[in-house]
Amino acid sequence: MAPVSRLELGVVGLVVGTLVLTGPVVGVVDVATRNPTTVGDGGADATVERLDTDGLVIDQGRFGAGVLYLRIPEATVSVDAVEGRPRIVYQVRVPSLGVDAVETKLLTAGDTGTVRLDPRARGLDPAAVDDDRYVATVDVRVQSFEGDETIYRANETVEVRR
Amino acid sequence: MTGEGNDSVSERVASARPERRLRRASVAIGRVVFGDRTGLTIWLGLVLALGLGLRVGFFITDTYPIANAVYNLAEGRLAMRPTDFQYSLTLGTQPGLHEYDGAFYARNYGQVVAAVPVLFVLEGLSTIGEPRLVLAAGWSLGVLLFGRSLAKVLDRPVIRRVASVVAAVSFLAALSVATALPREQLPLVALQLSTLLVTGMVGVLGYRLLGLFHERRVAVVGGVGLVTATPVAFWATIPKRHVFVTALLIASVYAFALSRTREGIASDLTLGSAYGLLGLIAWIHAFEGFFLVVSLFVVDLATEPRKGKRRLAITAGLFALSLLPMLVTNVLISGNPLRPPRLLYRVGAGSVELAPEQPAAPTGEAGVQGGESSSGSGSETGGGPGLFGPVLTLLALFETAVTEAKFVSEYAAVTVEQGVRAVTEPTRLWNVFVRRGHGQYGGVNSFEPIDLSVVESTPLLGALLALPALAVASVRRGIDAAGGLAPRHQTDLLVGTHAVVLAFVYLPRLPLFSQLTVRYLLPATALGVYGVVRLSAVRDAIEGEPRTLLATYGTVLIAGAGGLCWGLDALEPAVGEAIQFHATVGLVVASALALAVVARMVVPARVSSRPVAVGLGLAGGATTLFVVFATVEYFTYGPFVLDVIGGIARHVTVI
Repeated sequence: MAPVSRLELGVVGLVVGTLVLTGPVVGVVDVATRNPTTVGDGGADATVERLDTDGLVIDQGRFGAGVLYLRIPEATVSVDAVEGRPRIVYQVRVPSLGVDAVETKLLTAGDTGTVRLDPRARGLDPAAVDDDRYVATVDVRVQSFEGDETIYRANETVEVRR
Repeated sequence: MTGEGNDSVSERVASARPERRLRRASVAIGRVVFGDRTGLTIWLGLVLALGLGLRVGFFITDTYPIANAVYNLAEGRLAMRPTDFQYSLTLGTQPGLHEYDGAFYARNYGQVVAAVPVLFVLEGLSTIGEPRLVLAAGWSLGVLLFGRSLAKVLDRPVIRRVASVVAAVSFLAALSVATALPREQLPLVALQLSTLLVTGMVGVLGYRLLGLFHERRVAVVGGVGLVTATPVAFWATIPKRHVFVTALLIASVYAFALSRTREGIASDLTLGSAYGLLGLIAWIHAFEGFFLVVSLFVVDLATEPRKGKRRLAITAGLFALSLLPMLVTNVLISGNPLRPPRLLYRVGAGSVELAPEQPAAPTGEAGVQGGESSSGSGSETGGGPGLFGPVLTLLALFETAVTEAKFVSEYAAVTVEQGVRAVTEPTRLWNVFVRRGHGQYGGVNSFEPIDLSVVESTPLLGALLALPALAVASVRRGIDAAGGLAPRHQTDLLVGTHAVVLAFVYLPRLPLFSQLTVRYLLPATALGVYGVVRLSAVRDAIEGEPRTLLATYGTVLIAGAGGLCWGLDALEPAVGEAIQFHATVGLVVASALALAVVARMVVPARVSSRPVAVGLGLAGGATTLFVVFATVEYFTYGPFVLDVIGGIARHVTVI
């Protein structure tokens, strides 16, 4: 047998073998549960490092996007002592415009350092924005099935730049 | 896909052994489906590349009822009750759900049925391995196959080694970052995978169709371009009907072209298949199928007015056979073979589809009887006792057929009338074909201008601006009418007619929200790209300047991706802004290509093929780049099926 064919056969063996070994029938290792994707129990020490609320404005869309946008600034949160699978929730609400923007980041035990949350700008109906200023509430929370701790809360004025 | 170079002796020996016979059978099937090894390679390459972008999720709410139907059909149920829904449990969140006699039905059953075997395979394999790893293993083994087949096509054995390494590394990476893929998601994944497999066939069929008239290189570039340089790639893993319809339509055009180049019974069978493949579209969308069959019929009749009895019988027979699945599905649902689910009571919001507006379902579980007195009665009269039973059934069927024929022809007349009116509205044409802009959004998609026009999403079609120049040139040369049109020109005529008919019937409904790339016109867009490749200036560029073309395309992808990452990071645009940026790029590139092609055709002595090749590379690259960024960055509607891609995407946080 040519060496290339042997190489290919080896790869097939590796793939199929691993598949069976980790599968429900043999089940030596459950590979999928090591990497959780959903929030669970737990908690973390977290503080907001940077959240520049000056960046919270409503302005005109660029590149020919003829709508208004609520720009939401990036928030950086430093986390420590993560237990279980909590998540950071960054929420910006402008009730009078019906905006409720939420960005979350899942943490896993042992995470330390800085977490970035950078929600996308929100499209707004140009016809609905008739005031020059709106009130927004900004929240940052550490959330898990065990608790919901608010680590940052502010009421901000959002300026409309037309 | 072997089968070349077997002499008769070895053939006789081979046929004696069962495994050889199996091999030969699979080669024969492969030949029918892919044509040759190059076709198989194109299919594998497209499916593997676009599979990287598969996100498990619902991009558009229309997919909920279809995915629910896949799940239920696999369980052996056609009629769904609210407790049978696997996805989106409420009724109002499932556009395209229809009600009959207290039970719920989806639409596009041809697509649903195609997904069921894929689901069975996935479920079967998931008893052996983790669903997530089954899919990763499938991708890796696919890479091995692709490597083998590409190595043979290009005669570069080293590709097999590279492919082996890629396959092993990608699988090990998938293993290390694997997350759980819940089994409940498998019906959705099956629906998405079946769409992906069909997307690969769009490329193969484009390659085979162009291969009938042109040299291999043109056919390969055209076939691959039909997918990667058009929004077909965008819809590859979003399980809407459009890719299915596109594949069947191109298959039908291919069969038509074959029927014009072959003789005898082969010609009859291929002509019948051309009708039959369109008949299958009716199983997915009855009205699209209807209008396309009419368009084929007209071109067929115009280019070949006389047909023998055998030809007529075979064509009619194959067409009737192709309608059978749709008729049976309709009978099983409403008892009326000619009433597709789309025409039953709708649940939820009003329809914008190419179908008569259906009344909303009366609230409550009870009656759906009212309002359909003359139709939908086939099954009720069918049970009559004694001799009269069959006669009554036939009468009832006849009555139904007459009623429905009247209904369909009236609807067709209204549609054509609306189409004529829509064609005379310049603003509408401008918004659909050239600059979509941000009008008519309402509250849909959070006021984000995420829709593109035909040219914004497929700048390659800019080359079609050369058509008037071509027409002038043809007139100047004098069309040789003697002996009728050549097969390739008959095929051109068919493609043009299909594209115009599709544009015509859909125009009154456009522009519309959530079209993204004018998805209603996706089949017409693909046919348009066939038209682009048929332009001699474009073919000369592909044949004469393949390196320029590939280098430009590659540069656009690499430099464009880098530039976009940087620019989007610096400017932090919203999704709508980013997409409008792509729209502008698309228009600029389309203009450049149009200029190059027209110049090449009008003054060939002064303009070489090189600018045309550059223009093609730019236009194709612009669309591919849009598709890549739309998949990775702009529309994050679900986790990637290949976790590795998700990991990479997270590290390239642009927006």
